[in-house]
Amino acid sequence: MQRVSIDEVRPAMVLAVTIKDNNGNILFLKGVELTDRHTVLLNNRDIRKVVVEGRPVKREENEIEKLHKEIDERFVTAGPNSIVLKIRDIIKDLLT
Amino acid sequence: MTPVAADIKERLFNIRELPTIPVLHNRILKLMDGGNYSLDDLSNLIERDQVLSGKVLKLVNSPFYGLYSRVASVGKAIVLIGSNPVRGIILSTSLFDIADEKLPGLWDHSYCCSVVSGFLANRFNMKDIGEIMTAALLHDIGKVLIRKQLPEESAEIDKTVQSRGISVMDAEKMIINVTHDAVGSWIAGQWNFPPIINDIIAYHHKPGLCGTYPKEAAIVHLSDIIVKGIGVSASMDRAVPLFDEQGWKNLALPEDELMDILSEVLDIIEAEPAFSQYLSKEKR
Ligand SMILES: [Fe+2]
Ligand SMILES: [Fe+2]
Repeated sequence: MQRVSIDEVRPAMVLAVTIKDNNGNILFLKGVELTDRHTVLLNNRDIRKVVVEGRPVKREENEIEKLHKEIDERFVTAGPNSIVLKIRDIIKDLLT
Repeated sequence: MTPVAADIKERLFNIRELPTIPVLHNRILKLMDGGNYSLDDLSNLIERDQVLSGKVLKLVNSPFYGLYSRVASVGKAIVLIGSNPVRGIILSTSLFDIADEKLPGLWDHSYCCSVVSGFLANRFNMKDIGEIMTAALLHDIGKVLIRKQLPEESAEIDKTVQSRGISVMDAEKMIINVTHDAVGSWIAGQWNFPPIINDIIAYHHKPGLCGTYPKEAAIVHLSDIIVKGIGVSASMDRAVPLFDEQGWKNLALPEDELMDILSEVLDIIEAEPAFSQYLSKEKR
C-alpha cells in the first residue's frame, strides 16, 4: 500500500485504510474506489493524506531505498518476532 | 543479574543529586498530594508559571486530546486531562532541562510516546488514560539520570551501542549493570508517583512480566516501538527496543488492525509541528 497526499489522488485509486474524520466518524470505508467527488469532500474535511492499495504514485527510487535501509537498520535490535517485522514493513510502506 | 558495583550505585542514586524542584512547582505538587484542593487553586498556581501553563495547554491540545476544540484555559485543561499529567510535566521539566543538552531529542521522543500512548489507551478503552500518558512522558527518565550522574559510563554506553549495533538496554547492562527502566522506577518512587506510573516505567521494556498493569505497560511499550520505528527519537538513541511477545499477547490486538492503527498514528504525529524534523526525509 502507499500513503499519498490528497492532491496525488487520482480516480480509480482504492482506499486501503478506512478514513475517519476528526471526531472518529467513518467517512469512507477501505475498498472504496476514489473519485473526484471523494477528494472534494476530503479537502473540505481537512484530511491531507490517505492510504491506497498498491503503489500508484511514482517516487524517487533512491530516496525510497535509502529510507527503507534506514528503517531496516533501526529495527535490527527489535528482534525477529513476526509482529514487529510486520510493524516495520508497514512503516516502510507508509513512509514512502 | 550480578549486583551493581557499589560505586556506580552510589553515584547514580545519590539522592542529593536529584534535580531540585522550583518552589512554585513544589507548592503545586504539595497541593495535589493533599488531594483536597479546588480546581481554581490549582489552575491559579499553574498559571503563575508561563512555561508550565504552556506545556499543560500544549499537551491538552496535542493531536490526541485536541480532537474536539482548542483548549485555552489551564482550568479546562486540567478537567480534561486530570492532575496526573500536570505532575508528570512538572517533574519531567526539571529533569528534561538536563536532557535537552545531554540527550537532544529525548523530550520529543517522550512527548510523542505520550501522545501515541493516549491514542492507543483510548483505542483499548483504558480508564487511566492520563496516568498512561504521564508514564509514557517519563518512561525513559532513567536515561536522563544515568547521563547526568555517570557521564563517563554514558559515553561508554553510546560508544558500545554504535560499535556493536546493540540496544541501549543491552549496553547499559554491559557497562553499568543496571538499566534505565529500573532507574526510572526508582525516580518514580522518590517522587511518590502512584503505583500505576511506577510500574509502567519499570516494565516498559518487558510489559509481559508486569503483574498489576500489564496492558498499560504494553501500551507504552508498543508506542515506544512505533515512535522509534517512525524515527522520532534522540539522535544517539535510534534503535528500536526488543519486542516483548508476552506484552503483545496481553493487548489482544488483531494483527490485521496494525495497518489502520499505524496510519492513524502517523496522521497524529504529522499534525504536530515539533515532530516534523524527524520525518523530514519522508517523501511528501
Ligand atoms: Fe526505554
Ligand atoms: Fe523510549
